[in-house]
Amino acid sequence: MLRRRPSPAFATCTTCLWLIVGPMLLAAEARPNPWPVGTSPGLTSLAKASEQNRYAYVFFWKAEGEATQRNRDAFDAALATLANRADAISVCVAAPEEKPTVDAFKVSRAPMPLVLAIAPNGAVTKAWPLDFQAATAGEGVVSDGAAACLKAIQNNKLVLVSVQNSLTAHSDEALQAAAGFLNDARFAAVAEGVVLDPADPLEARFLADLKVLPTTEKAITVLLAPPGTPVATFVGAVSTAAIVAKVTDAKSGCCPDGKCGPGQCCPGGKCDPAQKSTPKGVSK
Amino acid sequence: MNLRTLVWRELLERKAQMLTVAFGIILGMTTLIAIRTISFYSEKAVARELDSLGANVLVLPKAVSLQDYYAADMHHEVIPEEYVMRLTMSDLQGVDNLSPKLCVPVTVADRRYSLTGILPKSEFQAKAAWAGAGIFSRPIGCGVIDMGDTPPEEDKKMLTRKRVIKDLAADEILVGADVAARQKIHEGDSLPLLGKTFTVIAVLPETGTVDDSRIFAHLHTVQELSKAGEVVNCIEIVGCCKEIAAGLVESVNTLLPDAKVVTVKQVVDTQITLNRMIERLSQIFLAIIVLVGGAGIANAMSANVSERRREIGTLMALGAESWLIQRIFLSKAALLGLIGGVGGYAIGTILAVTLGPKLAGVPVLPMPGLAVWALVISVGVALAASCIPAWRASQLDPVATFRET
Repeated sequence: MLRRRPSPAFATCTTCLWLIVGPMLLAAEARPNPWPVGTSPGLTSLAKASEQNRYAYVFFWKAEGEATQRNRDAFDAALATLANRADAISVCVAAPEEKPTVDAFKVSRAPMPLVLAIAPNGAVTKAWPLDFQAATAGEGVVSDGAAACLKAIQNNKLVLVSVQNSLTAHSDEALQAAAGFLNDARFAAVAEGVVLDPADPLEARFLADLKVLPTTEKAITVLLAPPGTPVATFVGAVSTAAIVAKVTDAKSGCCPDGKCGPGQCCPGGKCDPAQKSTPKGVSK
Repeated sequence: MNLRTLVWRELLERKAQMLTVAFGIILGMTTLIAIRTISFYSEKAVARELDSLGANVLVLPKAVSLQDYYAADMHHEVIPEEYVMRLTMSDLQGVDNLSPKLCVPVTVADRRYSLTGILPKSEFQAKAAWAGAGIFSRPIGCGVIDMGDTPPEEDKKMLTRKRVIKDLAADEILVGADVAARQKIHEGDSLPLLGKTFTVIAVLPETGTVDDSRIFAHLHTVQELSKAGEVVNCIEIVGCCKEIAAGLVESVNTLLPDAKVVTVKQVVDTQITLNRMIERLSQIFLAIIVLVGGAGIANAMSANVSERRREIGTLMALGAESWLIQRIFLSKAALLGLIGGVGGYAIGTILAVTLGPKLAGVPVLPMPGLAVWALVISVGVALAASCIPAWRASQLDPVATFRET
């Protein structure tokens, strides 16, 4: 699935290309609510927040105590400042009625108290175990592009981020290569695509994390793998074969780009960089 | 009367003395062979484990000592399981994988094994991406990317190599090669453990480590059955070497101040030091055998020559040359060395194979190459120690020996 983030600057593309990419983009528009309603108070609140396109900050706690109270006070204070963007939800993990919520996040053995920031699409955008810092609460609100990538990564999928607009060169080739990769039977079920505009100020922080300049003159394609590792960055024109080669390489090799030595961190120790293929058009 | 008859009669003349000498050589060689065999397989297991694991970090309870990597998770001390989540959700760089373990003893057909609780990756994988969008700015990871498309059967069989598997149901177990072979367990069999019936979903390939004697089940099932609570004995971290060098251990220590954090290299170094100590000990044994055994043989031979001066004189008077006299005594010494070498190798190997797995925690097999080594040393020492007495015997004056009363 290739998800396109709204961008007024990005307008042109070939008809043929849109015939390929279009259905994927349409699929992205109708985002299903990630949470079931009525199974638990926590999940119902999450579903409500998602429906209203709001973030949810969930305060998980096990038992009353000094740490719980201190964190709850910080949580309440922080959420008061984020009231226009996020809902506050409190979940006691020991309460039987909240078992579906606890199971959904698999936090029964997590350090408590725990605060999770959850985007409208269901992605956990930040976690604060044991010690919630009100000053960092805003870090849980991320751009739509970052939330889409996090969601895919948390579903153990690869993400192909296409950074381009009408001003970047090789945009069509990059988009075609991405569509080809996402339609490949080997990767269709385990990969998602996200299109970003480098000039979009809302994505500036996320693009900086990806080391993409907002002034880039060429389309850039970044391949991310769980748990958030940037596996490859393709600058300018790229082919589906080059992306597939990079994924195959990273899957079969023990050290992407040969950064580890034999007998060190790679099981089996087969880390000879000379054995690594470097497809044309790949730069890192 | 030929040389063989002479040597044989010479040997049987004083049985008690010869038996004592042979026993001394056998005892020395037994010790030497047993130590060398066990230390060889122990070192081999350490090297193999290092190769398969690479740079790793262990999170252990404070009270646990670092005597043995293989038994690093086999103790009664525990740490909270929540440490796994703390590590997973942290912004630590260089943590490639995690493998918490809880070991409890179980008995299968009167044999004790370790039921090891492990946490499948599906329980904590997504949480690694809970650290926020900042995770995308981290440096490239050190391991192979996992798209989760490895066939489940293959994924489970790679447990001992990759230290972690994707999924494991509450009633499923994976059985080590040694357990499966001894108990004749096959995939699909049912096995009752701690009052619960499990299905064997895979028999793990042989690794030559203590993992062969383990039965792996879901950590939460093991916790529940053993009533141990939400705890683990050890958390193994598959870390990136570069980040370990850059201070990953210190970062984990800061994150988990109530735990002991060590690299496997440190544990292995401890074991290598122990192996070297055993190796040096075996060298000291060798020196003692050469000195004491050699002196004993030389003494016995000298006494033998002194006692049999008249017989030697008679032989020489009958025309025996000096060389024949030397050959009688040297052949006798070589025979004693041969008996000592063969006996020492056989008993030492039996001891190593039976006691080695208990002492060193690794499977030990016979080493045929050591048989040659044992024979060369025992025969060599016996011959060297007998050279002077044999030479003295060959230099006797027959007339002088007859004059002695």
